[in-house]
Amino acid sequence: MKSRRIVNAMNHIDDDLISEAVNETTRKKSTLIKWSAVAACFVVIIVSISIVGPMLFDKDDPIVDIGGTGEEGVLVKYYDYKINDGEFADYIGGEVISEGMIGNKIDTVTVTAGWKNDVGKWLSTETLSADVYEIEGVPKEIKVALKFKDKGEALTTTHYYQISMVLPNYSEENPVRYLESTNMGPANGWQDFGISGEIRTITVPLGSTYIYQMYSYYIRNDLSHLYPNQALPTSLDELPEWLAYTETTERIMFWYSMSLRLPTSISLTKTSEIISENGDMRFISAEYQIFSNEKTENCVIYFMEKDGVYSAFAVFANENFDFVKTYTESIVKSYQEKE
Amino acid sequence: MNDLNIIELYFARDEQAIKQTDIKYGKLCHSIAYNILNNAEDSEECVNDTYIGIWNAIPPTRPSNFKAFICRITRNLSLKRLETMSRQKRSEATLVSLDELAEILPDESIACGISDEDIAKLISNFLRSQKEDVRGIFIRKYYFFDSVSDIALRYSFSESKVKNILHRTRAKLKDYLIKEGVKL
Repeated sequence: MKSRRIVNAMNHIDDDLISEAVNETTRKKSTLIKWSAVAACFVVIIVSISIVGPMLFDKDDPIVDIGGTGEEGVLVKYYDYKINDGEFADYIGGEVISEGMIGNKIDTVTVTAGWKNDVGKWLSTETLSADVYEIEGVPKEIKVALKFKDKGEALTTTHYYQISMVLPNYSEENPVRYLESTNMGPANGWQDFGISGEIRTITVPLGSTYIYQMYSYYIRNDLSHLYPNQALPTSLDELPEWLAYTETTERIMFWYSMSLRLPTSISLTKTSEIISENGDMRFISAEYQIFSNEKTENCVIYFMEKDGVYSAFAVFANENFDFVKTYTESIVKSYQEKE
Repeated sequence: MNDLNIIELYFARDEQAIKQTDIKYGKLCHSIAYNILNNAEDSEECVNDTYIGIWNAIPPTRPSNFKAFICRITRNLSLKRLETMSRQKRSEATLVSLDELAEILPDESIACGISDEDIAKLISNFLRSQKEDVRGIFIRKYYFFDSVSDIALRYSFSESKVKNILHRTRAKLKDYLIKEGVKL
């Protein structure tokens, strides 16, 4: 009995302690002698990861292949930077972006740059000057490019780095409230939808995977958060068309928040009206085709309005679009005001 | 591929998500499962179950620490499997580490007012006050169930030093819990 208690208790120790123990072990796995043999490569890799690294590796990835030896090493420190103030202060980056995509210069900023350890704590900092540029076809509210004027610890000032806004953690904002637990996993899960309601997004137990792999969904409550500088349409019925308008790129924020892929065009194919089972709420169901450089996606979005605030339950179908529509329509119809 | 990108693949219901998870964390999952189950076949199945578990959990969950998230699921599933396996097949090494800790932690019947989460919080706080090496060794032993010889090898310590550290840390933890009001 005691053992069981301990097993359970240990399972709840903090995440950072667990990942630290994993990193620690990997880091110490190699002996000093082994490390010294690759030390030269390693120093170069640390520099390359942060400065020109994005051209060679996935960005921000602390586990690297040391000098192509197939040995995994954990990055013990890396070079990072952050714009000090102004409208881009919260942006994070930054893969290198080709000069051909760079637009007008829009700002000059000061940047705090320096080394961070593997848990993101600054080890040293320096203040550098950099110019901010627009990226062609991308609103500056989403992404801009940064070009350093001072070298600092970097080897050159040749490259442009794309940095982008940080979206809120929507899953954290809308946690699922499970009402049942079965041996197949939790079931009957409700999530906030709109400013005062909720929908039953998880119906069957999570262990029954098949339905869930047919689609992915995103809940965006209060769309005005995504469009702080724009007026949304005055009527819910105009909203689907408004969001499909891609002549001005500023409107793609909603789509960007869901896939982090910038759509090249959006086509609204069908709209219809749905009423919740309890008769309390009216929804507009809008079907779209989303085209991006990588692929075309089918989605259906259920829009609602409550006290002048618009919210959306967006569903992207991976297969069986018609089934997904029928299934997710039943989810939307479960809408109720929270108690 | 970095963790954020892998999580995005899960959100997009892209099967590459599992492949990329396996490439990056497959070895780690296997070692956790194997330490607990001591059997390659069972470990393999457990790791597969872990991937299904992750697939089911994301979305809607968006883990802030993906690595710890995976470790937790693998450990849970492995322990569940261990429980359902016959006693003969249990890993003796695992039972030993649990017995050691059992000496210092409260029984449910005694400390029934304290939840597992509360005890875990105290253990986390205690570990934070310890040196990084000590903390790592303790977690490697009692979270990941690494053997003393594996820990010694990885930290370049002798086995007796590792045993000594574990012994002293257990004693300190016991004192700490008593001071925090956990009746033993």
